[in-house]
Amino acid sequence: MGILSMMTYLPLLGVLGIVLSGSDSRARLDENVKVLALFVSLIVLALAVYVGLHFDVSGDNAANFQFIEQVTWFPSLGLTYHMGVDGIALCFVLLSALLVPLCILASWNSIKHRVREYMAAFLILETFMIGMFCALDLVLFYIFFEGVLIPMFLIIGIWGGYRRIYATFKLFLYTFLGSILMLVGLIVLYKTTGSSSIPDLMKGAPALLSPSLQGWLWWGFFAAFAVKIPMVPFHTWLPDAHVEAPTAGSVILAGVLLKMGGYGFLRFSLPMLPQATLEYAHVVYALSLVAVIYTSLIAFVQTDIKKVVAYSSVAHMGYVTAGLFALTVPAAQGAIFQMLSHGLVSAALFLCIGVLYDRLKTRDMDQFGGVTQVMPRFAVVFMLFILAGVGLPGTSGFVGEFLVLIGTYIVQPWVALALGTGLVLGAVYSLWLYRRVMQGPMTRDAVKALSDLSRREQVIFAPLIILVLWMGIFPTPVLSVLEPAVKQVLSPYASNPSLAAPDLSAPHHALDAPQPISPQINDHNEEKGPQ
Amino acid sequence: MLSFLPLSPALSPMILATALLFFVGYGAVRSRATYGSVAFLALLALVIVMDAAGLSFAMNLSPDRWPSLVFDGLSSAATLALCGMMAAFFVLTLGLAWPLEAALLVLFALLGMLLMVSADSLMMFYMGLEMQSLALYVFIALQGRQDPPAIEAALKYFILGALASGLMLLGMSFLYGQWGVLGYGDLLALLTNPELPPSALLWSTLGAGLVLVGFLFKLSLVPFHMWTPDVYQAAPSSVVAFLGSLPKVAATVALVRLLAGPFYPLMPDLGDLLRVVAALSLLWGALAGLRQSSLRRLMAYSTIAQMGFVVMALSVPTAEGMGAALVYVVVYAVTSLGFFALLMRVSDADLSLNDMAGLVKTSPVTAYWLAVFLLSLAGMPFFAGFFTKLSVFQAVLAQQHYAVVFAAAFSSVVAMYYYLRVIKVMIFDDAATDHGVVMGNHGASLPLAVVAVLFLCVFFIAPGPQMTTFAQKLAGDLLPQTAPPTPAMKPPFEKE
Repeated sequence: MGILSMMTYLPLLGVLGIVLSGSDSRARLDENVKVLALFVSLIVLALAVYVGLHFDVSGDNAANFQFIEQVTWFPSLGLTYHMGVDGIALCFVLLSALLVPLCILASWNSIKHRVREYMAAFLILETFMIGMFCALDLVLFYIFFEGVLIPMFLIIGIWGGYRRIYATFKLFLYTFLGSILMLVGLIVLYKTTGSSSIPDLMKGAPALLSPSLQGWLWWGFFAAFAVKIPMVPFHTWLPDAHVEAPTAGSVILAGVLLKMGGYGFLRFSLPMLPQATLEYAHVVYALSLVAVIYTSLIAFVQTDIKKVVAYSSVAHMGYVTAGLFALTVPAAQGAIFQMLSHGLVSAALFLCIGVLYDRLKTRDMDQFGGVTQVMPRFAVVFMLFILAGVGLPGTSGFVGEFLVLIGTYIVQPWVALALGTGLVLGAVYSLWLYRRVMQGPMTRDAVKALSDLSRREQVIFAPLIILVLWMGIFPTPVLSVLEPAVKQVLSPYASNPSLAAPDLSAPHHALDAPQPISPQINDHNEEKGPQ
Repeated sequence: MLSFLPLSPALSPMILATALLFFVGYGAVRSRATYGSVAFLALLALVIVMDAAGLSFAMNLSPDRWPSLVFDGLSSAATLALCGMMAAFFVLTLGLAWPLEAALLVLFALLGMLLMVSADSLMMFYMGLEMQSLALYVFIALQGRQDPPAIEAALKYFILGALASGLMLLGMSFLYGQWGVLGYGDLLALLTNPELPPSALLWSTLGAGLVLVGFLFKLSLVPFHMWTPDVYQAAPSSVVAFLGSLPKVAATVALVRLLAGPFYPLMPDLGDLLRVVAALSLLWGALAGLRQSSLRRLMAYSTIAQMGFVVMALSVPTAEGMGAALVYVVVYAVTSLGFFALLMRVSDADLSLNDMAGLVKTSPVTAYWLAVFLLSLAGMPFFAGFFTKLSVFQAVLAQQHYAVVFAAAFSSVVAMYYYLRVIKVMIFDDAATDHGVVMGNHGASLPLAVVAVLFLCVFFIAPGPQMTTFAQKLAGDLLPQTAPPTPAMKPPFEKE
């Protein structure tokens, strides 16, 4: 069994351990289960880091899938068990493997009932998430993509808030409707081309598919990924799910599940259906712009802190979709970087909200005010992640948004301009949120009694802070891992005359060359040093 | 020289049932002990039968013909599956205080089903079908002394079933009137004639269509599904466990024999008919299930939708399609058997959905395993139900029948809602009463459910791939070797 499979199925072994574990005292059993789950997820993280360190970034293999595992499976249905990672998948695997132990730590004290089931659900979730990013067979991909719904359904439905049933049904049915259309698309893709291997299809599918068929498939995949990422107007499940989910559920939802949509676009729509992608890119642009501007405005009028962050997620994903469909290397790199950054930042923001919620049992902004005075450490952490969400230079949020804007500007200046307004709006609602919750006079007695971050909470935030700053100040390692894979994904567009990009094969020349951008931004560019 | 070995599986339940009838007799004490010993005897006999079936299975990959019967790989495999499920059913009922007749009736039903799966002529098939149906009508009504709705359900089933049988006989008489033969092989030979006069084609299609009506009734497909919710609601869980599994397998295998055999030349028309029926069943099964408050009525509508998938696969006359239908129905039967076996732990009588509230507190195992069955029925990966649905989709999409696939996709999403609703009631809700859900005590239902859950969970590793390959091979052997050319793969959605 290869290392990717080990990483994928190890959590299931942990689930088996949890199911079999027993103890005379309930409290001790819960404690043991938590430790076991944390231990398993840390091993998975170690394996992911091992894969990351042994990944060939610069050699001949850099653009290919690595750590390949391929075994015949269901020969009569044409399925193979096919796993492997390229630079894009690797980053998402690392992100998933990092967030799960943090989620387990974050739930340490806040989950009081059905602890065994909770930990088992998270480990199953980890299996499906990692499996999905490693899967290289159409149906294997679908299995993991869809399987994620089962543990998520349980996590929100059992440990969620007051309207959890409504939220979890909405999440499940929306996503299921999208993905079953994708399944039909996947089968047609397989039956038409005769191959179910994603790497082969990425290279060969465009030539085998007629433009009209590409169009149909494109919409089938769009149904699944647009719901998952989510794009306006398919986003309405997200605020509900976020608000009702327990803290750790929101973290995984925002941190990883949304990225599955973007990852799907990168794996299927962009490389396999280039003609349809060019034809319908304007639809994606339009929806992305609506997402960025409209959801930013909506976020501004929310009083529930979690809803603000939930809507901001939709807005951030608007950048991602616009960046992906700009079809230039910097924009796609930026979009992926933005997904990774958002995975860390929104996860951290939901953890911050969890910190407040654990103490006051409310997420209504008006119940807070002046928290800074009693929780100074927390105030710094929260500020950092709010600013990272806004895209302050020096944090990871800046790099992604900046690359997306540049990459989009090359081909669609007006889209880039409109996206830029979203940046301002984002700053407005984020800072407004921070002001209302953290600053101002401290009037409420409940707030006066708040205690600052505990040791456990500091441990949770530490890796996120380090990563957000590291990715913001020195993003080169991440970008260089992404670059060959992104070029591979965008190879069908390299010679397309309809893209007015000056030189797509050399994206950093595009960055370094004088562009109609203000010199100030170029300074930041040097500061973070993409090359 | 005719060999009796392949016939032995069909003979054994007959001999056993007859012996029981004579020696244990009608006046015998209807005690739990008698029933238990009879069921145990039947179990032993079935194990022997399964050995024989396995042996003939090994020997009969080339067909072995009797007058009106054929023993080939398909019939041996079906015999194995049916006897295995029957043995499981006997294990399940061991602890129940049933009248003695119950064991006799299910044995006769089994005999009927074994004849159905091996039938090589319309007459033999009809005999098997009737033997099975009559036994089942009485079997459902048996509980009627304590439970009047069971009589009503049995009567409904009987009257509608009799109508369907009548239509089927009418169809057979059309075929016989046109061609003067009833054997499958003869019919196929006559129907493959390329210069079929239009009137002959018309009568044959009409006759075949009417024969299909009987199947649609047995498989509970719209518009012949009306009996299903009533029977499912009124009969005890244990009876539903039987009804929902074995007869479906037998009917599907018999249908595969007909569609891949004598009706193959008529498939262009019959296929369209089947696809329409499949689409209707898929949609109605999903939509009508939404408003049900009785758990078993809900499962009845789920059955209707599930059978829609089977018929959808059968509507494409390829090895892929027929094989997909066979695997689908076997997996469905195991799911249904396991589900109702597990449900017996809660109650053998009908349950409203709310009775299940908070089941997870009383018995987490029951609740989570029921959830596995439901998710598999809904087609969630990585359970068996996903792979069987996938194979059906593949087979149908390979022949570019898109409309029915979209009906199936839509149906899956809608049906997912009610499956999730059951899971929600069991796992998310609090119990309606303080003492929670009261659990019955059925020692045997738990081990059976374990086997079924394991089957669904590891299907993708162990029996699934092999079963699928093998079912395709079996179906491929049945299909006429000089098959008319299947439409070459042209890009779908292209305008002609």
